[in-house]
Amino acid sequence: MRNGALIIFLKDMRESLRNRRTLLRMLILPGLLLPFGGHYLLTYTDRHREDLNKVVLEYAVSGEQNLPDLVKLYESDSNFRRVNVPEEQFPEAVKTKRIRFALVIPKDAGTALKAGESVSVQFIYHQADPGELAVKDRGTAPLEAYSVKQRNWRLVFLGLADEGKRASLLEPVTYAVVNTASDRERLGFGIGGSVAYLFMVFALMGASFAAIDLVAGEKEKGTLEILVMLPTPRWQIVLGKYLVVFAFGLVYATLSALSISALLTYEISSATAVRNVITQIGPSEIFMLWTTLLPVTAFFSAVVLTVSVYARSYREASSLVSFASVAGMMLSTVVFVPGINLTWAWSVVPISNLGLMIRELIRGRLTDYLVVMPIFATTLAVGVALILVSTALFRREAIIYRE
Amino acid sequence: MLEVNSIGKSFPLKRQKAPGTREADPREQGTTFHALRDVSISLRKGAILGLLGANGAGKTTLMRILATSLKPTSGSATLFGLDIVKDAEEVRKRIGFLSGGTGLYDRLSARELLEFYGSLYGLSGEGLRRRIDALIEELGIGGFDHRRIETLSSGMKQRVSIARSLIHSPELIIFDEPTTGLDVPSAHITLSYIESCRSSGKSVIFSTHHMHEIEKLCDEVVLIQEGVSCFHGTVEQMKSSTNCVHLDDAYLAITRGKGASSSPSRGDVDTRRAGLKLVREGGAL
Repeated sequence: MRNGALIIFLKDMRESLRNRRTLLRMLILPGLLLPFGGHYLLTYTDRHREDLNKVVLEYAVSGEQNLPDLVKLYESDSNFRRVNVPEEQFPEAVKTKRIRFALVIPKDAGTALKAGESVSVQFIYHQADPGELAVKDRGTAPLEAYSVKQRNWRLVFLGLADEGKRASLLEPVTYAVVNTASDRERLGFGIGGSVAYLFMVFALMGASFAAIDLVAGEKEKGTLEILVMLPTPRWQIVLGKYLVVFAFGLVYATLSALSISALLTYEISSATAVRNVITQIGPSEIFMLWTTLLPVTAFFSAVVLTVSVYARSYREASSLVSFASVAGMMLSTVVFVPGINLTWAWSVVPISNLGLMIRELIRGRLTDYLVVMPIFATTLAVGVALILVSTALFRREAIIYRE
Repeated sequence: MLEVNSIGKSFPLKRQKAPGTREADPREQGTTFHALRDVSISLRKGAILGLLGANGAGKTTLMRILATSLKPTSGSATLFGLDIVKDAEEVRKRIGFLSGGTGLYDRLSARELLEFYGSLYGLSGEGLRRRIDALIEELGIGGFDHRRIETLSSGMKQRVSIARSLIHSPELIIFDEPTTGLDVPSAHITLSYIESCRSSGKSVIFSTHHMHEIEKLCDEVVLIQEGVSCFHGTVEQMKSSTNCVHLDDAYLAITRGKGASSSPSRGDVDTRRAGLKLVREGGAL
């Protein structure tokens, strides 16, 4: 007689692979949303950035007569177009994007400048999102140039015509910053943290697609009652279902990881440093990264299976899985916290340890492979404990007949 | 073959009612709901036992206990000489259960479904294939055995469900309201199959709300009301003990406490039980 777990695994796999809802969920994110959605998002971001760098910026000025040379600089630049707006309307005009920026030149500016004093010109703009930063950069560029020109005149007037002398006067001490951390180490913190976080999200999503239908769904359909009346031990039923949940979680996480890696490698044309970090990760490290999906998926499969066994309906299971996801994701956010590293203490904290391990692997800093052992051991222990809890729940009448 | 002795089943209630609150159901006592009390029945090989009772009376609970998915909180039951709690796995190999809902996997074909359940009962290879072929032939599933269950009509599904419950040739088959929601031809197929079990020496316990099914099929009848058995005996005994011509009237007479019997024994109405006073049942079948 074949093992009951294997028979249930094969049946559930066959049934799940015929479930269009599960398959669509499995394929939509890695197959469509990540590559096409990601491509669109990155292209749109690039285009928006380019647009703001090319578009003619409307501006307004008050107090032109006080520094006519400065205003001429703006007027001579074809990237700017002057619009007449009363000074009191400047804040509202930039907010509504009637103009992109405004200059307020104080009335004594010309006199103060001639007297060798400092002049403060007000630059008004409205930047509520990062995409608008280009307005400030472009809009203040003529001001910067004008300031440098004024400074140079003053230095010449003081007898410092030589550029070398000017530099030594203005910057008596210079310093060069040398960071010995490689791009991979520096950017790997953010990239690795993001990858670790995404791995967990993917594993959790893939596992929950199958788990909810396989247990809570069976309760609703009445097939679970028949299953527990069979001479198959309950642990075999749980194990059979767990293996299906694990398989779906792993395939989903692998597909999503491949999809996002391709996107990062080939789409982020402007972020050369990011691409460099990714291309530095060798085949053996890619394989190791993939192997980290095994404990991650095993862990989350056990979580969602337990939740699904406990839930009385498909709907309740979905709701409980969402709650468990939030709790799990909170533990995984440690990967973004500066100062938290993969120490022995952290290596026994479930979820966090897996996240930190993935992050350090991407940063190329996972040199002490001994620390991997407690991570795998903890994950295995918690996973096995959760499967035992599922089996115990499966033996309870109140769980099978939660009506 | 089946001996049930004073079986009882209680479930914890989620919250206790406030003191002085009138109990909606006499089976609710504090934080406990007594779904079954002191039910005793027996069944011989090849006999068909009908379970009667209103919705929520405890019929399904009793059948789930016999099918080993629920454990009794008191009393005991043996099936084929095996204790249904201690030897549950062995008992499961020898019983078949068909619930009111068909409980089928929609995305499998009938044949795949039978292969799945057959494998879990330890059948394999040629033996399993022959058994599936025989059931497909016997229940007229041949025209649609390769179609997914989700595409079948309710009657077709019921046939597959019956085949599922019989795949391992059980000696006792438990049918929980097997004709509920079925059209006439499908119900007819189900009832014909129950009848055929008698000739093949299988025992059947089935619950129903249809008196004609009881009259047509049953050797014995057990009437359960609010968790207690208030009658057991034959159909004729049920009618005669209540002086009724029709079974429906006999049923109503018993459940309304009109039947008269001073010392309940087989074939008698336990008026104390019919009146819903919880007393131990007298005779046994």
